[in-house]
Amino acid sequence: MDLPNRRTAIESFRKGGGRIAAVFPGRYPREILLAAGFLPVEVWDPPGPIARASAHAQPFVCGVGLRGLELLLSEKTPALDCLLFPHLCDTLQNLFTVVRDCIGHPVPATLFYTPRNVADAGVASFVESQVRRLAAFLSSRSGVSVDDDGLAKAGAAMDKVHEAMQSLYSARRQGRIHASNADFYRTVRLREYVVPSEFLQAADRLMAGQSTSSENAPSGPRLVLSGVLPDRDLLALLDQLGVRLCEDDLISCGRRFPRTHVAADKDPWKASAARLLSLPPCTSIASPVEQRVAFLSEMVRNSGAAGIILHTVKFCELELFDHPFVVQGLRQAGIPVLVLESELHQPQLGQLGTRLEAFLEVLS
Amino acid sequence: MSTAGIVRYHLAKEVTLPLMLAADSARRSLRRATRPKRTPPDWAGPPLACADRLRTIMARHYLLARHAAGAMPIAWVTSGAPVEILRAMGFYTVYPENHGALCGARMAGLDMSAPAENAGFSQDLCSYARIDLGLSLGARSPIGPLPRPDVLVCSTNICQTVLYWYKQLSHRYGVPLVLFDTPFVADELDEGTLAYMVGQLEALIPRLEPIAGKAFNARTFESYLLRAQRTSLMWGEVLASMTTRPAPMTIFDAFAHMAPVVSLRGLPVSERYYELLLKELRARVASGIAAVKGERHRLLWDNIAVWFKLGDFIRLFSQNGCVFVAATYTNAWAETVHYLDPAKPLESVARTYSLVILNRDLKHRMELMERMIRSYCVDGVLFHSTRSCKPYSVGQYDIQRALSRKCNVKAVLIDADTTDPRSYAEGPTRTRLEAFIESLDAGTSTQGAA
Repeated sequence: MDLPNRRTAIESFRKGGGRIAAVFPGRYPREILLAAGFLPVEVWDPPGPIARASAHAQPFVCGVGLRGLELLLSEKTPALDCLLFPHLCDTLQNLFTVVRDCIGHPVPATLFYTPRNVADAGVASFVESQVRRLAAFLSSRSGVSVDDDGLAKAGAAMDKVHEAMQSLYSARRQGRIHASNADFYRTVRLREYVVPSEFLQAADRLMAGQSTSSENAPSGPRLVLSGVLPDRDLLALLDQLGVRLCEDDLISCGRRFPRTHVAADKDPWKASAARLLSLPPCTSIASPVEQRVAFLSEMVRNSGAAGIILHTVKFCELELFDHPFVVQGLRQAGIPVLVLESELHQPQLGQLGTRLEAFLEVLS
Repeated sequence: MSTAGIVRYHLAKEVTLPLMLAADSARRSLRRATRPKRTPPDWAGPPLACADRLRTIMARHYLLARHAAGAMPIAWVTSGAPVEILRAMGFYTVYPENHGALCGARMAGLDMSAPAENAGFSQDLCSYARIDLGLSLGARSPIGPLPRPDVLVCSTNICQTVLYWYKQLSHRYGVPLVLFDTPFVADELDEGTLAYMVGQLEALIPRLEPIAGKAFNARTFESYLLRAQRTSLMWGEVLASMTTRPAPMTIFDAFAHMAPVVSLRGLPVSERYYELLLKELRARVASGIAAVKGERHRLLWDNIAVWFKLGDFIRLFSQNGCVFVAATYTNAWAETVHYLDPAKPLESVARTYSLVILNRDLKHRMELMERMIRSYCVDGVLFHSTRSCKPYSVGQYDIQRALSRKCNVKAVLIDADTTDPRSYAEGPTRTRLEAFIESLDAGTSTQGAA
């Protein structure tokens, strides 16, 4: 499958005179960065050993945080123009200030706070104020001022990306995507680091069945994957076992686009805030247990899945806190659940495989 | 609230508990008078006389809590929640974090968190949260049962963890969770953030009123606010007493004596207590009474206490003439009190509660620690890296290096936990601390040892 990786996407964008923003995990208004002339490149799970980051963060920091920090400290990292840390959790909050205030990283960094009190009447105004603050920061770095027209265009492009994601996920639920789990997520994750038009082309190719590799789509049991991100090794294992992921509730994927159509506000700033506030329930905004159980139960029912895998990255406390009662709620709803926890890029594949096989046997 | 419940509560408050506590105090005095006199360690100064009073106040608070159910609305609150608003509506407040600390100090952390871990809560999660969730799942607290909450009030100013934790409690107890979200202040507090916080405080009142069964009274709120301010200012003076040499108390004392400003802030009992404590401390300063005899090195503690090792740490440091005279943790309840302004009550509450150390960037923390090092004449800093508290711990490696360099102080970092002894390795930690103490004596740095 011929898809660009992060490095080639960065090089290509830079050749066109664009600037690069490294964006750490979380929810943020991607359209603001696009409108300000940046290519937002998300940093979720860079590969490679962790060496320098250990001098700045304890071993109980999750792999996402440690690997992201390692990337920033590496000499091999492509030149960056700014760093954005959406406020996903306490760890990334502190890593932001470590990078900016302690290490004194030369690339300017900023934080985007994701409100937790999403039921509050003033939350939309607050998000809009944060979006404007972010725009001012980015404009000061790129010299490109974010105006209403530019933001409206970038917002419309992001709406198309979200529609494409909805179509891809819908097609997958209906069994119309003929791709392995690994291939599906290679395309879906392209949106983390390419411009909307490039992602839309890749999404079209996937829908048309053109971007699949020689391996056939798995034809085994249908499952939902919930957790932080689609770990490559886990996906390979699922493909190997013939498991067909038919939906996901991943912080990096399925929780990042609205599941229903959201009417765009005419004011592009308000629309940007509304886009963020229309995202599905997530541990990162502390969605109530009952809401998550209801959302996941419906997801399992609508997708015809036989069960759900809750997979989390070690030390990810926002996910870990939810597991016991969410598992209890799902089991009470008659949904089989498998809970997996592993280090990023260091999964104990044998152990995971055995547990998955046992789960599949139960399902059959 | 039932009439019978209210009568029972007042009977307990005015009659039964005072009698019980007086009897307990008399029993303790008698025991002290009759048992063979133990020779205090040669490093120990006279203990604070107020400690007995503190014990009584906190025992009364927890005992009274048991009688509050049915008489008063009960709120479980985080340590950084704007409690003055709740007090104005007559809530009895219970602080699970304080309860967690008490369990830790009584070595009950493991037993208390076992039911939570058995239910699937990971050992990697905050141990205060595991204790509290364990309690909700049937663990027996060493200080007796806590009353079931009618509402949970959570503020994110100390961490997001409290929110994840309280939402589980909300699910478990089937009670509403009222959130005061305080966005992290990475530079200055901006107008949008302030408006968001003030809006939440305004919205919080009508949500709490039906639970309280009582209307919010602005004047009552103001009186609680003023008393909370006076109390926090006095707490600041208590801490400042340790700027004198020799220090009349230590941070290990402060870890215990902070309980009223955390758990009873805004109440008369808390204010009266610090008047007493301050009086005693001033007298000790005037007479040159030292908490630790032969004070040689003055130290700063960063992070929450290792509750289950307090006794050992007191002995180890005190017998070597090392006195902890400052802590970022205890300072948190005095640091922002000057923002309180009864003329702008909600706005000032938003500032006071959002500008606390854990809700600000590490530049702020380093500057604060620098100021503390200078004003308390600190020679060394101990960083407690606790896996229970990521916002307090992540960044300590860099702060340690920066402060050692800028302030020319010795620094050591230990890995432990607030209440979970499984995260603490006695041998390596002891070796590291002994090396730290030796370096203080020798005037060499141990920063490489961490």
